[in-house]
Amino acid sequence: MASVNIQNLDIVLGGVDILKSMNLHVQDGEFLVLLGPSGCGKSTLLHTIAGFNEVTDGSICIGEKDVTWADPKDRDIGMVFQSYALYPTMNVERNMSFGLRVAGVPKADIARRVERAAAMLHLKELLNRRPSQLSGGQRQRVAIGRALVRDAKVFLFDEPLSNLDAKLRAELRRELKQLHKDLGTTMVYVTHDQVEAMTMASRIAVMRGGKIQQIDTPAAIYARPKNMFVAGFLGSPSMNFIEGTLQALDGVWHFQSPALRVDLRHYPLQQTPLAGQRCVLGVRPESIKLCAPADSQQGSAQVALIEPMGASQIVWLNLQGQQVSVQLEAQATPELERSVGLQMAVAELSLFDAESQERL
Amino acid sequence: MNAPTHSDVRTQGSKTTRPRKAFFTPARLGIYAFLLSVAAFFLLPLYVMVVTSLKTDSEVRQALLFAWPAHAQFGNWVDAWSTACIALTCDGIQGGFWNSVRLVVPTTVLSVLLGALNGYALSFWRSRWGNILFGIMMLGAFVPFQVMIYPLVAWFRMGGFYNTYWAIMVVHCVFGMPVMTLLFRNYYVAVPQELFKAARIDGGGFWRIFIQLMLPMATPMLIVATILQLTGIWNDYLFGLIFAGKDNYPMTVQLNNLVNTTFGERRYNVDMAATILTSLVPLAVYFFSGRWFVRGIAAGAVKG
Repeated sequence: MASVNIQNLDIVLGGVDILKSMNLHVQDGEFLVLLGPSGCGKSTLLHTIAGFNEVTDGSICIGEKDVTWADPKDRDIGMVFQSYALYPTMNVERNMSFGLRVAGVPKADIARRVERAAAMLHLKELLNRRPSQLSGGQRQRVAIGRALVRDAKVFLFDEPLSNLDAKLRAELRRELKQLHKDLGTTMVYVTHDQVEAMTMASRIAVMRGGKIQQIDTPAAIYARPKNMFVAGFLGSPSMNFIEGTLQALDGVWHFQSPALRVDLRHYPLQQTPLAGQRCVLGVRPESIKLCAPADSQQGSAQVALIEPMGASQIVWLNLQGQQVSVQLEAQATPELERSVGLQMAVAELSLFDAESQERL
Repeated sequence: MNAPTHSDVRTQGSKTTRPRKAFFTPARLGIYAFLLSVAAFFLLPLYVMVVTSLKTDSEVRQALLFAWPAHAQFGNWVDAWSTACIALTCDGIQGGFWNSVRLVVPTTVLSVLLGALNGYALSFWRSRWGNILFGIMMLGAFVPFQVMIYPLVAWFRMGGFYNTYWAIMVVHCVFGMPVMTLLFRNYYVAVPQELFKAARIDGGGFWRIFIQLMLPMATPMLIVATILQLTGIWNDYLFGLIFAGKDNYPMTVQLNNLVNTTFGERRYNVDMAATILTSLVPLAVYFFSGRWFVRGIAAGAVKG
């Protein structure tokens, strides 16, 4: 086990700055998820940790060892790829033991380690199969097993579940989390799927344009996103954004838009705003309750569409031309076209500056 | 709304089958006639060769080219193989056969492995000048090789191994390299880089990844490349004539000498038998590996 320490890392590939003075500290035993849209540099960062990209500037340490210029094999890492990358001409057992055989580990030792990994990943009956005879989920388990037998200090995952169907993905996600719990090894996991990030991570680093936007626990990122990009990226359906201004009424800050007025007495403003400042109110679908229009101090809207989800339902409201999603329990019975009042939990809101898109 | 009518019920109950197309339409007949005539056109020379090789000398003298032999016999084949005279020696073309085997087998193995190695290095170990090198090599594939013969002869003579076994071997390896490299490069380019990266993490070096991983993976391409080189080198006449030297003349050169330098009466039946013997090896290769051959060419074509 080891921590990963990245300092002032610059990566230039083909004349394009992919990463610019990146700093990242992955703690020992942590499950860090790098989350972001495609092209944000998260995969580049991971492949740089693995040693496949030339470092333009900066340094990478794994544990106490500076590995900035080390060969991939000398970094004590195990890696799992999106396309599984199994050796097609070798059976499962030989796939998993390839690295150990290269390293000249004694035969008995190899057998023991493969045995252990196979037991952990339910691969025992498949040891003599070729990769082509396995299903997608089994293939990815073999790939994980191949990383496991190496007793690496850090495991790197490059979108390992993206090629699987939804059911298998949920299953393997759980297995991976269990694995991390059992092993306690440092893991760095790249994905663009916010559900994977939320469910598995100890911490999430949300990336955009080669920069880390916010790095924190899933709960903290979800509740207090640092900017509108992070706020919109996490959560499904995503956060509602409503434009408006900040007004002081009777000495109390209010969010004011044509359709809404929200009392911000209990909102923890990070700095004193200007009166009339343009801003965006971010509200998650589950932070809105519906009531009779007369009972609401904040505003009202019309029910436009209902999406039943089984355990819950998504109700789309028409707030003076803007679509707002609200998540209700399945028992609620909103009626289409009816006017409803909104009650937002102020402590769960997010306010962003309209210009900088940063949290207020 | 309506009760099902009688016909609805029937279509639901019975299995429907696709209506049969007529087999003999005028258009089809035309196509088959054309195909058959083309096939006959190409098979005719082979027929004449086989028939003539089975005839006795006196039958050949009757000059009935298409006639079936009255007494078919394989004596000419034996003659061509072991007793026909080439210039002053009368050992048939068996010497040429063994020369060709001695040349083709190691040269094919060597040039295929070199091509695989090149393709592997170019696709995975992206060195800075790799693409330029590959470009130069491809240029080499398009320059007619006749242009390079004289400089090569001069160069070999300077090195002191003109007209030797090594000279002809080197020539075939070098001239086979562009196509071999192209084949394997295109094959390996389609292999995901992640596979290579996984092997790197597992600690594989340049040779280990090549020998244990990439070479076994390229089995279809290895077969195709082997077929190409085997037939190509076996069928070669020009290089063999120029570079091999008297002692190493391959079968094709011996065949030419047999046909063109005999004294006195021309024994067409023996010539034909010798020709068939010479082309037997590539013919057999095509027959037994045609499936692979087509597959490999198609794979190369799509990915190239």
